[in-house]
Parts: sequence; C-alpha cells; structure tokens
Amino acid sequence: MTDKLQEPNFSGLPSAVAQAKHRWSARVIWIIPIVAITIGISLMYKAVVDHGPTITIAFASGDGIIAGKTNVKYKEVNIGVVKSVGLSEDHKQVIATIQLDKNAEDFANEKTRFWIVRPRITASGVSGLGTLLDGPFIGSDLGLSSAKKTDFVALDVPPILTAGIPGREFIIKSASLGSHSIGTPVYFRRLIVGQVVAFELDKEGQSIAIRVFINAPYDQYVTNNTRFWNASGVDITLGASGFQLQTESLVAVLAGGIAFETPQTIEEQGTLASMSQEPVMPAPSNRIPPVSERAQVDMVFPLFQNRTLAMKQPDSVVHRYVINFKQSVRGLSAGAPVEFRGVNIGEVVSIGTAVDPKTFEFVQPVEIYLYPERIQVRSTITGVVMPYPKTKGEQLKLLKMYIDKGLRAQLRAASLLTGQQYVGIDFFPNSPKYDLNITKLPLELQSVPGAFDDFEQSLASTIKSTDKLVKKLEAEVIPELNQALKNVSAVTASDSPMQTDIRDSLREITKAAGSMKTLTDMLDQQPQSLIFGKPAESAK
Amino acid sequence: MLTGISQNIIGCETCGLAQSTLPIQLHYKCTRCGSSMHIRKPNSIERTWALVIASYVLIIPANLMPVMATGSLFGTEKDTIFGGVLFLWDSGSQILAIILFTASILIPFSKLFSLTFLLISVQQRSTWKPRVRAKLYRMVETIGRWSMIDIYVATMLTALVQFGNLMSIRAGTGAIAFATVVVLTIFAAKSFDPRLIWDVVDSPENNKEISKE
Repeated sequence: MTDKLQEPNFSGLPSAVAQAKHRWSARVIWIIPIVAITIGISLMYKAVVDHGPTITIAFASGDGIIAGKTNVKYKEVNIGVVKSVGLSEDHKQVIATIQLDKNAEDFANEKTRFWIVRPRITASGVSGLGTLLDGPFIGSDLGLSSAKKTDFVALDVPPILTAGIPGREFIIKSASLGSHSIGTPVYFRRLIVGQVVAFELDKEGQSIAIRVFINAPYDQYVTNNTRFWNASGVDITLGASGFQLQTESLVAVLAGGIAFETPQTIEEQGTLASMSQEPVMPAPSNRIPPVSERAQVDMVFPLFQNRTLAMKQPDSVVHRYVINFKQSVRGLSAGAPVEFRGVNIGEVVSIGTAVDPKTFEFVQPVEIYLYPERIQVRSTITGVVMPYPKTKGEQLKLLKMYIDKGLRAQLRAASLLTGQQYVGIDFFPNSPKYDLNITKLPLELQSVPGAFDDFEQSLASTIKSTDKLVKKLEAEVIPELNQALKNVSAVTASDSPMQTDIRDSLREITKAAGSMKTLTDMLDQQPQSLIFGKPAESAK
Repeated sequence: MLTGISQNIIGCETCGLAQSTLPIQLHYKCTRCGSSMHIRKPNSIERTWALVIASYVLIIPANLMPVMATGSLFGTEKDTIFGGVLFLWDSGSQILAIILFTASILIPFSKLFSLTFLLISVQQRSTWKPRVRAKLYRMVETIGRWSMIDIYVATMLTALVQFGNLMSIRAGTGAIAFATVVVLTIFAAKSFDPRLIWDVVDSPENNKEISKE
C-alpha cells in the first residue's frame, strides 16, 4: 500500500550530486573541548596551587574585620584576604583565618607581625585615614626567619618600624619609663633621628629596657661612648646649686623624647681606684669603655636624667668615705655635692643612722664618694701638677698626712632659703687629732661642727641669757619701779603741800619775770641809766 | 512512516528542491543552487558531545571565578555570579536575584544537562517519549541565548563605568568563561540533529549507521 503510493511520486526527481565526506572536519571539533580542558586545568591549577598558606591571626576585637573583604596588606599591597572570622575556643579572642597569596608564602614565619590598621591619632601624628572609608585592613611586616608559623597574635598597636628600613637598634636601660612610649622621638642635636620601638621590664622588675631605632645614616653617630639622656618633659631641679630648668624642644616637652650626644674629648683615664675597698661604681657612666668607636647593634646604654649628668666626665678614681655627723643632717640629701673650698669633688651617696649599743649615742653616718682626680694640685713653688699617687699605700700616706694637717668634713648650708646642705671638706688645724682606722671600711673622715652649728649654738646662748635678764628684771626691778611710781603720784596729787608750794613759787617766778621785763625795757630805752641811774621824774 | 531517508529523498535547505539520493551516501550538493546538503547533520553527535564537554569544563571557572571586578575609592571588590545572586537576595531584591539565578545558573546548567540527556538517549537508541525530547530540544535552542543577559550587563557596565580612581568596573575571568559556555551551548544545540530522535522511532534497524555518526 505504502509502496504503491510512494513509488510514482518520487521517481522523477533529479539526483543530488554526491560529495566526498570531509574526514578531517569531524575530528577538528575536538580541539574545542581540548582547549577548554587546558584552560580549565590551568585555571584550576592557578586556583589550587597559587594559593599561599592559610594562617590564623588572633585579634582582641573583630571590629571591622569582614570575611572575604578585609585584606592583608604589606606595603599597601594585598597579600591575602580574610576567609573567615570566628571566636577562639575560650571565646576571649577573635580568630581570623587568612588565605595568603602564593607570592606571600614566606610571610608565614615566626617573625612576621600582623596588626589591624585603623585610623589613629597620636601625639606624633595621624595615620590610617584611608581606612575611615573602606574599613580597616590587616597590616603586616615580613619577618626574616626560616621557622614556619601559621598561628599569629595580632599586635595591639602598629609597629613603628617595618623591616627593611636602614638603621640600627640600641637598648637603653632606665630605672623608669618616664614619659617615653613607643614612637617617642630620639634627638641628635635637636634633629629627630630615630624612635623608641619597644620597651620591656626586665625579669627582676628592676629596670626598663627601652629599644630605640636610629635611622641610617645617623646611627653612625652612636659610639661606644655615646650618652643618652631623657629629653622629655621639663626637668626642674632644685639642688644645692639652685634652680635649674632644662628642656630639649617644645615637641619633646609635649611628646617626650630621648637625646644622645657623644662627649667631644675623651681623656684617657688612669688606672681605676685601687684603694683598700671594693671597686666602687657610682655612676653607670663608668661602664662605658672609653673607646670612641661605632657602637654595636643592641648595645646597652644607660639613660641619664639630663644632659648635665650625661655629659659629665667619667670619674675613674672613686674613693668612698663615711662621715659620722653628730648633729641633724636635715637638708642633706643623696646626691648633694661634696666640695673642697668650693670645688666639687664628690657627692653624697647615702645617709643613715647608727647607734653605739653601749652608750646609746646616735650618729648619722653619711657616705660620700670622692673623685680625687677632679682637683689637680699644683705646687705653689714650681707650678707643676702633683700627680695623684697611684698605689694604695701612697694614697693612704697622703690621706693620713692631710688628716694630720686637719682635713675634716663639715656640714654647710648651701642655701639658707631652701635649707639645702652640702658637705664641705677643708682643713681645720685646730680640730682634735685622730688616727685613721685603715681596717674599718669605708674609711672614716671626721667631722667638725658646721658653721651653721656655731651660729645656732651662739643664738641659743644669747636667747638663754636674754631669758635670764628678763627674769631678773621681773623679780627685782619691777617692784621698785612700782614703789617709785606710787611716790610720784602721791607728790603730784592736787592737794599735796608740794603742789601749793610749786604754785607759789611759780607765781613768784612770774613776778620776777615781769620785773625783768620792765628792767630790760628800761635798759632798751635808756641804756645810760645803767651808768647814770634812773632819770628824775621831772626830767621827763 | 514515510520519511526522506526511507525514500532516499533529500530536500535542499536553501532552495527547497527535492532530490533523490543514493542509499549509503550522506553528503550531497544541490543540483539547482549548489548548497551543501546532508541527509542528517554530519557528525552531529560527536560534534555536540565535543561542545558539551567543553561547556562542562568551562562552566566550573565561570561560576567560581569573579565575573566583575568593581574598583572604587574603597578598594576592589570581585564578585562571582553566585556572589551577585546572594548579594541581590540579601539586599532585598529577591526578584532580581531569582532572575539572575535563572538566567545565569539555572539555564546554562539545565541546557547542558538537557543536551547530555538528548545525546545519551539518541546514542542508546531510546524510543522513550520522542515528542517530549523534541520539545526539550526546542526549548534548549530557544532559551540558550537568554543566558547572555549576565554578559551583556557586565560588558555594558565595563564600558560605561570608567571613572578612573573613583569607580571602574572590569570584566573578570569568569565572565569570559561564562560567555564561552553560553556560546558553546548554543553551537552544541545547533549541531545536534533532532531528526535523530525520530530516526530510531521510525525504523530502529535501518538507521543504525546514521545515528551512530
């Protein structure tokens, strides 16, 4: 049936031209998936292998950290992105998981530091303003360590310095941090050359180690002999030498600062103190080797209170003495000067109290440091400087000789206004002799009563005798005086006979005066009457 | 059933002239207009498979890589297609999110799956509901181009939003991959010959060789 229908209809059709099959075209289509697979694999490889390590950073707060959005930057270039933010197991910290880029692989080492960058306004400037608009990012500083680390704790504050800035770090030991903090400038001749980068309390809690970074090329000016001092704030000293005010610059006053300088000339000091006592190191300056060469990295320097102290020449010969004062040492303080006829030759180290257990006699032992090299003694005859003896025996001999000549210590008032006192050393030839006990250390230098003591004593005795005088006056003179006054009042009463007598006498005197007046008038008019007598009435 | 192939007749697609063919030969030239003629699209299944596989490969980076990088004063933001859908959903534009999801994720994937299904069914010489499969093919062919919406948006924004530092939009790697996927699936749909679905239904034994091609 179907064949019948179809056959006649299509028999007369023209035949199509047969064509050869293009064999190659069927296969060429597979280039497309091959290319796609190649691209896909390369993209996948990039995505999988190109990722750097995954690290975690612990933050105190997750403020502004958004997964997938907050970037990790190094030198303002993205090196990674926060993948997730969560709480730590103890719920005390925020843990951000970060996917680092492939080229930032070496950031995952133990020296690398991370911190969050937010707008900050400090005394020394404003930073991170860009983050006001696009939210905080995580800053980083590449550490140079081969030890791998993947769990970090973010810094509380951005570090001042990032690796790669030329310069060197030094350590300054200080008793207290003072007004220094991270970022405090370091001045060299009033030029800001570095900053405080860190500080920490030492293990014993005795001092603070302040790490300062001095930028190149200024770090070359830090030598073994460089002195650092506190340039922050206003330093007001009220000492025996008066009122002193020191500042570095207005910025340093406001923001704090540390200054350093190297003393110009370094005198080669003689041998160290070799007297019969333990080596005494009063000032830390003695520890600085007197060689002026570039300081090593991480060298430790002491921090002086001010420039004056810092730039003081180190005293290499130091002798320790004790002076037992029997009177009050009020006004004397540790650090007070010890002077020989006005020349500062030492300082007071400590003031104590001692008692003789038998007699219960109290004394105030005052320990002093003497720097005998501070006075150069010249011979008055030859003018040649007499060198300070170098051996212990000679030094003792010289000291004994001086003591025999009357070398004594005395408490003296430096300023009557403030009541500050100092120790004066001088020769008192009339003072009682004593023998130096060289076995008891420190050596004792005997004291003589101070000038102020004499004054006090005489004042006391004056007051005492005045008191006596007043008492005598009260006891003897005043009753008699009373009696006398009574008599006087009796005499001067209006009805007393003496009063009438006086009145009568006065009247007579008036009369006499009148006669005298008449006489003088007459003599005035008629002086001849003195010779020729009174002229007759008739002549008139 | 009466079909061109069973009667060795071919119609020119350009000039419409019906011509007689040889029983085994597949490739012809129109005697009247000279256009190439095929009894069935040559290598249809192989070609479609190649394009579908390429699309499968590229659809992975298309969805994982960012399609758009928005740079502004506040930093650079890279968005994947799915990231954009989530953003629209979260920011309250659920309808837009659904449109984007449909056009950019649902359609490309369903197209690929549909083509795969059609290819396998033809290769397996399945006779299961040819009408449904034919409808599916028509749908695949029709909706394919609509997936390009995403690419149009990205290219338009890239061209228009260029304000230097203030704001600039760049097309990402994902956009290129995605566009390639869309184009490849369109070609795949084109290279698939729907007549193959019916060849099996007609005479499973006769058309073995043709459907294998």
